[in-house]
Amino acid sequence: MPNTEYRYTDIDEMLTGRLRLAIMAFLMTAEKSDFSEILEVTKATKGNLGAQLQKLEEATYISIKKGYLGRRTHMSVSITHQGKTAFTAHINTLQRMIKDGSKS
Amino acid sequence: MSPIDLNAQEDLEIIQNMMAQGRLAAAIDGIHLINWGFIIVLILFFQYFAEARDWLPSSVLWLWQPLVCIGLVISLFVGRRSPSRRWDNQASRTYVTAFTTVGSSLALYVFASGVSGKPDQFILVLLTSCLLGSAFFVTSFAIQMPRLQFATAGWALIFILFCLKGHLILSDFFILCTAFFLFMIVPGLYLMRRKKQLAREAV
Repeated sequence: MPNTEYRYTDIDEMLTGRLRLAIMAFLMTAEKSDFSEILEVTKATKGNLGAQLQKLEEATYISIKKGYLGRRTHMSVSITHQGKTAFTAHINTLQRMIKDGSKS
Repeated sequence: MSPIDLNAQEDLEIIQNMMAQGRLAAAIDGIHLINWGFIIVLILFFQYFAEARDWLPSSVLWLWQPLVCIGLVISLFVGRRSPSRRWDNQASRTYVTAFTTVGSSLALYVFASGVSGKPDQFILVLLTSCLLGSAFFVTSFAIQMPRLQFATAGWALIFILFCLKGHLILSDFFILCTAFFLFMIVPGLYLMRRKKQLAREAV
């Protein structure tokens, strides 16, 4: 039987949520975006997206700047260095899990 | 596969798809290069006929000012939804900085030499080829597209060619037209095609 115990402790809890994972994956290559663009690509609801962005910001994986674009409010979202490091580590963990799973 | 591995596999698929969407969002579409390339080719073409064939009044040379202003307006309009909006993205930042430097340096030269007399067209050609070659050189590395170096090589050739010639003759306008088409519009079209390719991958 393969040793799977480490899997649960290795996984970054912040990135287990699909929407948070999708946001981080998008920002890894886009680096910077805004609320409406992320809403469009993730097809999430405004409330859920707002809540998940706040959690990622609290974890310092992203930084959020709020301002105005004309008369409308504008939320700009950027990935941080910590966010990039955590995301890369998470991908490595997932790949290791798949590799180990295919061996067993 | 165990359910855990299946989840990991699904997560990786989401990651791949979203990263493709991110690459698409940040990709440079080349519209600025096509816009400026087209405007400059058009002006050079008119300038040739104005000076050589006398088919057009010599006042046509004043086309530079309004057309450059139109180019600037188009660039600002297009820029609102393209690379300049993503200042945090390294590749976009390099692209915008490189080509803004080219534009502002040339504008500064034309303005400064215009104030002190007539701008030397020969120096302007050398300056343009040198600046554009450098801009394509850094952009190619920043956006990781080695194929864009053909534009760098092209502008280097133009620079060497005019250095060897040492002066400008009227038919050189056609050489410059061809250079702007091959080494500005074509790279723009190439970037546009790449963006469309990324859009297909992101679906």
